[in-house]
Amino acid sequence: MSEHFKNYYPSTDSRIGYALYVPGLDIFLIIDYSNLYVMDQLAKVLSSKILTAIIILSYNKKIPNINNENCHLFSLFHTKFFYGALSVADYNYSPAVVTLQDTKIIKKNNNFNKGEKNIIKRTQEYAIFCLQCLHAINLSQVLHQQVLTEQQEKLYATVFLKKEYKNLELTPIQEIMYILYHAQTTKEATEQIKLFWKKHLKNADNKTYWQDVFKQKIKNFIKEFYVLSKIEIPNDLSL
Amino acid sequence: MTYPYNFYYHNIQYNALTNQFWEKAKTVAAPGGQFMLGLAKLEANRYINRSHGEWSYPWKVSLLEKYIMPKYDSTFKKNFSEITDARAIEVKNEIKKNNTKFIIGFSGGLDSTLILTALLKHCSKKELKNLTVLANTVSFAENPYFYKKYIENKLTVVDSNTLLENYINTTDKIIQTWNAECLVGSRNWLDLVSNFYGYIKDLPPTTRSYLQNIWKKSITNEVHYSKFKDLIISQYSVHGDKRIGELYYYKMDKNIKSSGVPIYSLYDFHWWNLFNIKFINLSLKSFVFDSYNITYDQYEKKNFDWFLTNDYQQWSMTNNNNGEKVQSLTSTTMKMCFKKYIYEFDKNDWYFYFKTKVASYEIFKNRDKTNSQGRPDPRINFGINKDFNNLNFENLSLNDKNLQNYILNAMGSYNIDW
Repeated sequence: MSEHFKNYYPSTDSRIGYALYVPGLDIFLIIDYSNLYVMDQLAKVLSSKILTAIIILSYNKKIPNINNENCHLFSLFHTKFFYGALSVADYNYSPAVVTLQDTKIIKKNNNFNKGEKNIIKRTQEYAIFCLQCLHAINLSQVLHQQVLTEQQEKLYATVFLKKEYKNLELTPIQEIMYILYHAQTTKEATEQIKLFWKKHLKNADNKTYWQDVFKQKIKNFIKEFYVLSKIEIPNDLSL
Repeated sequence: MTYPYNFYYHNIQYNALTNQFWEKAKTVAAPGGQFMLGLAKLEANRYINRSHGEWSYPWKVSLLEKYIMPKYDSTFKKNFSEITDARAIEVKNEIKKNNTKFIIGFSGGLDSTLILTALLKHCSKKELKNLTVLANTVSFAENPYFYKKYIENKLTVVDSNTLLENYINTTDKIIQTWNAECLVGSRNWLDLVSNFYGYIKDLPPTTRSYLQNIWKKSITNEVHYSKFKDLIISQYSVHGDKRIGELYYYKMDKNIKSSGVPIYSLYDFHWWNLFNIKFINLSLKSFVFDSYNITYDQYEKKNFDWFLTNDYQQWSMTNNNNGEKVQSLTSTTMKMCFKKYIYEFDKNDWYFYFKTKVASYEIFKNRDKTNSQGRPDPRINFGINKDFNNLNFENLSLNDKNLQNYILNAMGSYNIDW
């Protein structure tokens, strides 16, 4: 977790945690203490590769000390009383979000083979990368939303006026989700993100007025994203 | 006893539309009828025995000949890939010879991905022009990599909300896959794998510890399923009532012992539930769900049942406990033979290692009344009679008092005979 996030979220030692549980493997993949909505985005983004559910952990229940280094060693005692939500035959790509209810978290001896262990590790690394990116884009977009004039207009027209709106362009948050959903590696995702920002910067050239001002504001937005996500700023973006 | 009705398919399912009728049946049911209704609280009771093993029903059930289980052949040696390749070549030859057009519903799951993989492997670009893929966003979401790489802009894709009966006046064949599940037996097994500790938690400590010790051998030929009897009873108990679980165990045990098919491990026991008593239900699913306005004859002419071959069934009977179907006690290693076949083609290791079953009805969820032409929810279907009429609860409650009375009487006189 980027140390910068503590400037934006209420508390980093929260007693509520959000753990991404993999029903198919009966392990936890990643845990986050900041934001349920970002966790939901993460589960959706990862659904192209692995199906997960979000377990809301309330630490007034007896819960072991679980973090991103050790969470893959923990399992749910059972999933019986989640009924449809975590039932193997009923879950799907849109993640179930549940509290622990009648089960508990236990340490289990999983006998994964070498291939499984490798891909679990790779997936966890990818999940951590995605989580960083998603926190970063959510925060940077809200901090710099005034530069997204078309998006603002679209929001007000479609939501508050309930008008049809032709511009189907995705928001930066959605664009980053799209990239993370389709990329196969962090390297590929990083490259795609760079290309997206390049395109975004180029859009500023279409502005009739205050082109330079827009461009600088977009650069600030992009810089914020890179700082928060801890991805090195690519030289060719010329920020 | 005379049987004025004779069913090819029956369905005891509790839901908002049928609760009232089944609650009424419960007040008159004899012990055997109570068992039928009790089991339906766990899952829709559509069990039909297609093996040579002993079984009984409250009413007359007939088997369509094509669904009768082939006699077990211990010398059968073909492997899963060979059989799948051969099936694809059959389709290819049919396209070449008769220019037949094929339609396949692609859910993104292992069954339809396997078939598309086989067709992509064996059919030329020209031959693939005869293939229409029914898909929607759910299909994409379940297997985005495959959809983007092999389907989008490459094959003809039609929204899967389209009803199959729209194709009834064409010469197209519809490839159906619903019974794939039966070859490798997954749903109730997956439930057990996820909830093993939940099912044993209320058992006596000595039984619990014994089951924990042998659990890892549940997918091997080392421990017979009878050693897991307490676990099976717990899994099939209804709201803590062990009686339903016990009756289920003994009914299945009697059927297995008289079936002439080798069934040994706990996994085999669960596989048999699908391979034997759910096979017909799943094979007829597309008729029940998608063929409201067409006759069974019309449906049959269109139906290309991919997995309903002697080879696939023999393969299924001769390949238990060898890692082909399930490799470990996680749900990601189910249907390994399907995964291996697909992986050799697409090399997508996320799908290979992590793909798990998702709800198979997802593809229907977005179907609304407009594109369903006002048909009733298929869950109200009670059965298919010998004239191949769908007997649904609308008819049952409004028009056919005789059938209602027949079911109630049958439930009232059905005793435990196992």
